[in-house]
Amino acid sequence: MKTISPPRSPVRLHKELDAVWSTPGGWGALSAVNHTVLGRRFIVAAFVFFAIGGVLAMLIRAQLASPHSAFLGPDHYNQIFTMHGTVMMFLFAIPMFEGLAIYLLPKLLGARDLAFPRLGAYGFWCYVFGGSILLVALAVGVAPDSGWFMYTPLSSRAYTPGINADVWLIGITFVEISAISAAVEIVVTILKMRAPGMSLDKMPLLAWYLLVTGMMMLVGFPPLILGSILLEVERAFDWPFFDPARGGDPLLWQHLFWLFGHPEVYIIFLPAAGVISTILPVLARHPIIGYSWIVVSIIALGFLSFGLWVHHMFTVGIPHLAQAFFSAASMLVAIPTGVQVFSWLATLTSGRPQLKVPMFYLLGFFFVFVAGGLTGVMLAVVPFDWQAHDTHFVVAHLHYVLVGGFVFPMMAAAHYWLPHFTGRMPVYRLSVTAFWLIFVGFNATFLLMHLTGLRGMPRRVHTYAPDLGWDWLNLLSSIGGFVMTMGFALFVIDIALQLRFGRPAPRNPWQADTLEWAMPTPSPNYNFAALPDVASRSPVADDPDLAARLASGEGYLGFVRNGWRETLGIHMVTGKPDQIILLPGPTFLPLWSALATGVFFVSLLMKAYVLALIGAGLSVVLLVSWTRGAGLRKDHGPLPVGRGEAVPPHQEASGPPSWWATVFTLVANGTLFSSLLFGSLYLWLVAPGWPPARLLDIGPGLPLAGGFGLVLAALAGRRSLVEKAAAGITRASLWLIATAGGHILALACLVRLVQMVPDPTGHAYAATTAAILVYAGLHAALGILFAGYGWYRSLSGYVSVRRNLDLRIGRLWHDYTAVAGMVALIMVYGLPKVIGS
Amino acid sequence: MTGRTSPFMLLAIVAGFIIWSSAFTLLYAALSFGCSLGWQSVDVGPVSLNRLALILVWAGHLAALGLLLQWCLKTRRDNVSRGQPARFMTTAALASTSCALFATLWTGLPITVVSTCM
Amino acid sequence: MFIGAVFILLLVMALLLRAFLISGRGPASARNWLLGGGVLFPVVSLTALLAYALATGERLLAHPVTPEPVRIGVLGRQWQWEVSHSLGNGTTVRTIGTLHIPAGTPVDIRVESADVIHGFWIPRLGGKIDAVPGHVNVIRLTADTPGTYRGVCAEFCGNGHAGMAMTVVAHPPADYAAVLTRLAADTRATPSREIAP
Repeated sequence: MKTISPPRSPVRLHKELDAVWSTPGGWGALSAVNHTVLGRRFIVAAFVFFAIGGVLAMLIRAQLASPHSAFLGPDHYNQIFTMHGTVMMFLFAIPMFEGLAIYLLPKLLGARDLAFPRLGAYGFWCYVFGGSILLVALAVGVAPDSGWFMYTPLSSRAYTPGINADVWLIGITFVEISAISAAVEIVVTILKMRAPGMSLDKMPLLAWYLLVTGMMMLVGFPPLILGSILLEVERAFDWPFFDPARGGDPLLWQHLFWLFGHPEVYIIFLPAAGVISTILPVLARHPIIGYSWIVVSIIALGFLSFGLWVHHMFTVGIPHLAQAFFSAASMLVAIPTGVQVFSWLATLTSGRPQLKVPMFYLLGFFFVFVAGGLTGVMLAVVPFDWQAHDTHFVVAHLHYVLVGGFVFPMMAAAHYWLPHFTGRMPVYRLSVTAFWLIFVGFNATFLLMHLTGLRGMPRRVHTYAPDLGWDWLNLLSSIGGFVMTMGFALFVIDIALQLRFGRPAPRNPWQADTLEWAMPTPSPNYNFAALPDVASRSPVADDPDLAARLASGEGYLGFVRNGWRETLGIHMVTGKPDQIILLPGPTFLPLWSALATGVFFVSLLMKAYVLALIGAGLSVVLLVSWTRGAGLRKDHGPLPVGRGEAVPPHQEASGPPSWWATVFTLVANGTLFSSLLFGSLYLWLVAPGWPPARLLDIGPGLPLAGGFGLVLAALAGRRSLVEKAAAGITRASLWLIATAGGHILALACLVRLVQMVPDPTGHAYAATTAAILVYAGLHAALGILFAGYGWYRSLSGYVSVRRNLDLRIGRLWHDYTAVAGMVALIMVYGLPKVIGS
Repeated sequence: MTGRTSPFMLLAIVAGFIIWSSAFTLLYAALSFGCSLGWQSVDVGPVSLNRLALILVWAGHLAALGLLLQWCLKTRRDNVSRGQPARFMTTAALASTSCALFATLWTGLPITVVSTCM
Repeated sequence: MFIGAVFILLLVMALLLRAFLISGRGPASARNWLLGGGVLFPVVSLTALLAYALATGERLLAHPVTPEPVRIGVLGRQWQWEVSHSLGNGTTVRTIGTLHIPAGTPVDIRVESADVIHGFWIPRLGGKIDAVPGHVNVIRLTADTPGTYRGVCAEFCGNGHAGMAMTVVAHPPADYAAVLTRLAADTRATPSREIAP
């Protein structure tokens, strides 16, 4: 091993670190995994999609500007409003804050990169490719046209025979991969990769917001992914999950969609609120008031927002008491939101607020968002919703909440962090003009729209009659929309001018106190030459020379060792360093893997199922190949990290990032499975056409054998870890073979069970039963892969008593598969007995 | 570093709201179940079987939250003098559990008055 | 509710303005400020609002009443409303796009769908209910005065969504039976005007 050579000067240290952390130029740029590069790419791509969504909005407003307009026919209009919603929600809002989080998080927390650089790159490609599928469909005129909410049966094969709905289901599911991977990356990075000393009580509020947002994504997106899979299977193979004639229910789709769709609103709002809690105290020159209050409010919002989904379904004929639960919960979220608003007001009043450019957008936020929140409380009142539901009142409300609660804070963020991205300062005059155009245009468009809705104009109509009192309201809304667009165009020009002519930014131009300003701007690719030691919530204010000290290598890991990309891992709560995290360098593997995944999704779209299988297989092979050469072939033990401390590399640590990532991925996976079980029980209780004519009639033998296989796999998987410690490689390998054997037995039983299920196209009962069995079978099959992988890694010397990470991750999978598989078997065996009795 | 600082405390901070989620899900499920079995027309004393089942679910969760709150109070008392982050973690757990208790109480209120299956 | 909302919005804006005018003098006690503005104030106002909302909701439900309300069946399909009026003697009168109801008394409307989800809504009579395939939903409406009311499809249902309108004719209660009999006499119950998209 090379020894650590203390560098002679900050310049020398910079050159050494830069060599290790740089991204190649030319075509090599496609191999980038660095979070600064990926964050910028996410933000730029999201902004392009925002522009596309904006153009679609202008088409909508042009059509509705006058009654009986002949500008667009209903077929085009339906595609346009569907795509406007879809693009703004899935391709703009989510990726935009992901981009900001990916760019900012390591800098804010005092780390050199995110936990999983290649996963970030893979997520980016999935997002771009999935979004491209939708754009291509729009260009050739087969874009989705059943609304961004895709209600069945309108979106089922009978009423949307073309490819339109498939484009949505497949394209969006492709994009969701990036959402889930970003969520895992965000959560693990926040919990494990902060600067030493940054205990949870000293963490910047933005990180708290993003932590809760990440967890919400892990629980919120799976219901939609499941719903999309079920609907695509119904469309492609006629399994009647949502067909009321065969025991399905269109309302199941609405439940799954809004179980995602409502938390989604808060997933978008929370990061924006985090931006406010970061920027506002800096511009008010006063630390935030009520840190702990805000933390508890965020957690409360994270949970409560899952209890609101049925308020999108108040008119579908659900019992009043059920509506009352959701109405009560919908009002309840006003409280944690109110706490935050009052905390911001208190901070402003206590400080000396400065009317800089970002502050304009924050003030705009206050007006627009509070108004949107109040109409939200109105809509939570069930009888009012019965009247206003599906009218332009709701359109106005949701734009007040989303534009006020997301776009305005993001515009503040753009101006606030622009010096960090580009090293140049905003130009006041132009930026403020753009703000006023956007603010006035926005209110002109949507304030009047409340009235249009109350006067009875339903949503999603492509035309209307002239004698209903809607004409002048719609015309003014359209004019307002175009004013707002001019504002955004001016914003783009403004940014372009700043890039070219902006005054170079001084270091820490806003006198902020968070770590992202303790580095040169634009930031170096390794962020910090040495990692800081954090002792309070405002590390930069405590030590104005911090940036200079870090640049000279004073702090943790202020050197290059073995050419490794090193950053520190810490104890989740206390922030004490407990491992050196070794990160991978640039590679094309994420791009190839995303392309293989793309082959899978596009083949599904084209109904070329053999090719889809090849794509899926190729993706798995490529994803497994990421680990080739990753890991260490010998034990290192604790290595010095500076300041007299020494910790082991992550492969030898007890809670490395990849282990936690597996845990959180399984949380998301478990939510998907729970949604499937919920769907199955829901159909039995609520759907018409039950009980089915034929039930799965089996004895206990087959389920018991399958369960035995699963338990065997889990126990043997655990045993392999014990043996590794005691007796070395051979015995452990034998146990891994036993693990695989258990999975094979379980898989055989599950395959046999699937064959015995009545025809899945006949009734939703058979379809859900088959789906549950397929889910369990897929997990057993992957269990074989995990066992084989552990065996292979053991043989090739990557596993030792200390370095048993591969086996521990395998163990998590075997345990999860055993639990989920047993639940599946009990459900499949037990439900027919209950239905039959 | 002394006091409650294990990652377990993160779970303690969200435990209250996990109980709220469970209450919310089970109330909604029990209502659907009761309505599909016709429990609203079976009377048990002054209330219908359906309402009784809901009240039991509600009360059970409130009791669980009460116990959790007691544990949080005790833990906070023991940790308040131990410095950060133990103090912050135990305070956050206490505050968040109190909020969850209030939320469970609030979302359950309609059970006592609103028509069940209509 | 609307006045309350405007009041709260103005209050927040006033506090915001105050923050810029008297900078550097924050609330004496952050705890009381957050507890009062962020918690107590919303709790009190929301409790009142929830009670009011639930009471109003209960009042609008189709509880069993005597005398039994008039029942009308509505079937939504792409893209028209088919209405079945019961004459009471076992026969029904079907119309397309026109509902005949008595004014001044509650009417229970059973809403179903033959294909995709539609939304049954007469804006001036208040309330709406979705027509969901596989489900029967009942909504109780009352037209206080005789006259003609415009109705629309509120839930997006495909290309003809904008044109899926209907007309509700509320007759004086005394005339209602005669109206239905006259409609029945005309066996080809006149399809009402269909608005072309």
